[in-house]
Amino acid sequence: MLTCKDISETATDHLEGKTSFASRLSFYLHLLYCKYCRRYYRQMKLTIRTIQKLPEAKDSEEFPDDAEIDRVFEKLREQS
Amino acid sequence: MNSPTIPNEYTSEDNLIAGLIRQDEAAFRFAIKQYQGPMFALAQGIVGMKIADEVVQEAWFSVMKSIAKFQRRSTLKSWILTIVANEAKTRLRKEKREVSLEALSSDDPDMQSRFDDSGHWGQPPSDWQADAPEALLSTDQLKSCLDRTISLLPALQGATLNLKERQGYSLNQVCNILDVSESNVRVLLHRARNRLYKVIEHFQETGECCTE
Ligand SMILES: [Zn+2]
Repeated sequence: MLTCKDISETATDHLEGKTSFASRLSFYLHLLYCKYCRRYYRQMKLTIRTIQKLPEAKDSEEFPDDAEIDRVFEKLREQS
Repeated sequence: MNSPTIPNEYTSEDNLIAGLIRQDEAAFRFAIKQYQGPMFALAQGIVGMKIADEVVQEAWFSVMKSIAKFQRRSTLKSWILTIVANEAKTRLRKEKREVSLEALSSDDPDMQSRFDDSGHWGQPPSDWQADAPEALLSTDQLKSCLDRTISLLPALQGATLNLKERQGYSLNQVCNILDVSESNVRVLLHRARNRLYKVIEHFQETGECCTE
């Protein structure tokens, strides 16, 4: 039988599809009857989706702009 | 100084490579325009925002020095990104932040303190009021709290999380970029995710950011 601790420790392996059929079965069986682990697993998935949605610095369409291109090029010319 | 209009000839990769080998200014400007974004994102994923700039600049210098030796076994872009990853890893090692996994395991008990001796939840997860990322990210405080937490993660954890979740690389690609085995990447990813889980949980309960 898996404990709740086992569930939390193997959550990433399950999410990444790195577990065997047998361990998937006992994992989801535990979730069926344990509401805390169900909650943890649901909220872990939410955490991951939230990280994925975090806006990144400098990921806009306008990057790099002309000033940035000038800056990188000038430094490159100095270095060489 | 104003950048000259970029000639269309460089949309062809062969022409672009030839131009870079000739050290033609327009070719470099075109390449910078094309690749600076992905290069910066990759470097930032590995070494963090603060020194990503220097890493990318070093990478451009390497590109300039070795473009004549480029064998064209891959696209120009992935060749350049390999150079960025190598520069970043060298930098990571130089910074001598926790590069060994042992150093990571001691300070970070994951969720372990939350379970009782029988392995059941002693301190169960609280129920969040949000069920979508948009709801969580609607407060700027949590957004900046998560940014700060990620930037404070131990180096390899932060790199793994950024590459996997924010840059969208697969587990396998992350292993190759960071030179870490797959099982270790999974451990790093798991720790980073749990850290952020706890930060969100704490924020849901108290409205405060804990970056401990
Ligand atoms: Zn449970």
